[in-house]
Amino acid sequence: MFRKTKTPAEHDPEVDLIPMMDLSLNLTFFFVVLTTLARDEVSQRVSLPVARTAVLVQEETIPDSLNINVDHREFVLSWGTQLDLNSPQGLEKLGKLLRMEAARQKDVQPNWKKDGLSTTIVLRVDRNAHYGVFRKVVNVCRQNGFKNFLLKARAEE
Amino acid sequence: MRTARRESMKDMKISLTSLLDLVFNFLAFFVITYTPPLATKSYQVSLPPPKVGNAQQGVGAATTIDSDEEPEVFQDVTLGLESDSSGSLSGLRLEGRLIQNSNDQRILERDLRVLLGSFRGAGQSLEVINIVSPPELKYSFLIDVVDACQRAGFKKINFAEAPSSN
Repeated sequence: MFRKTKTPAEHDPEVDLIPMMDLSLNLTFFFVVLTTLARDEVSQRVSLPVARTAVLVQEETIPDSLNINVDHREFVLSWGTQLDLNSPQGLEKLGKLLRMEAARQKDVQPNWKKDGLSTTIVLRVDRNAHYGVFRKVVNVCRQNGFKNFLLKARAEE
Repeated sequence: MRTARRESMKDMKISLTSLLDLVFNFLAFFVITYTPPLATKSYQVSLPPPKVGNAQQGVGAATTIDSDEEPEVFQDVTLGLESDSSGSLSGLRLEGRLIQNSNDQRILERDLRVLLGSFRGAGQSLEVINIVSPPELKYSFLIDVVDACQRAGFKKINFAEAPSSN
């Protein structure tokens, strides 16, 4: 019988890890770039209503915006806090926060007295919230000088 | 001595295993936490601030979708929404007349189109619709009605709040 002797290369088989490393790092980089944890303060807990006639608005066309999320419990989920819109305290706190935002915007918008505040309030209201709550939020915003609104809706299912 | 050092340099290997572990952990974290952005659309709304002396913002206060800066006078109609105790749309009244007692958007759209057609036939322009809704109506039904009004051809939509039925 002839017995084959192993060459030194066969003794130490090695897996080349470099391409796998390249791929893994590329994927990691991809997800790191795509994950926008707090950039647009969009709460995933808000289930938007569906609207066919709503239009796609490019974020770039809005000079300045402020996101307000209202969830199904009728809580405002913005500024890193939760405010109950059905309680007077929650509504008062929302008014206070919006007054502060408005004051900040007035400092950087010299023409606000003539043209009003150009800041757009992006309203993301849950489909199960009530119309009365929507109106409360809109009225508090209006009382603080905001006049431009974007009512967010989901594209058709 | 020099030969021995060269030999040890030749055998030196960097262990990539721990680096790979770390990279895979990162990868798993981002894959799990990644949620693709939801395709959203918007209604652009212009709501002028309330006038001084008109502080009562409850009943009858109107807000406008796509309003122009200059106030214009248009013939308008009022669409009253009714809701049941669960906040669902239970009825629609056009100028006080019950047009449907369901929340079927297609029927509403058809009725609104007929209404617009009759006004146009009479040589009148009808572009404004006032939606009067009770506060307990769910927001999704309001958006459904806005959707139907826009598809029917109304260019301006005012919102007003009806007194709560509770």
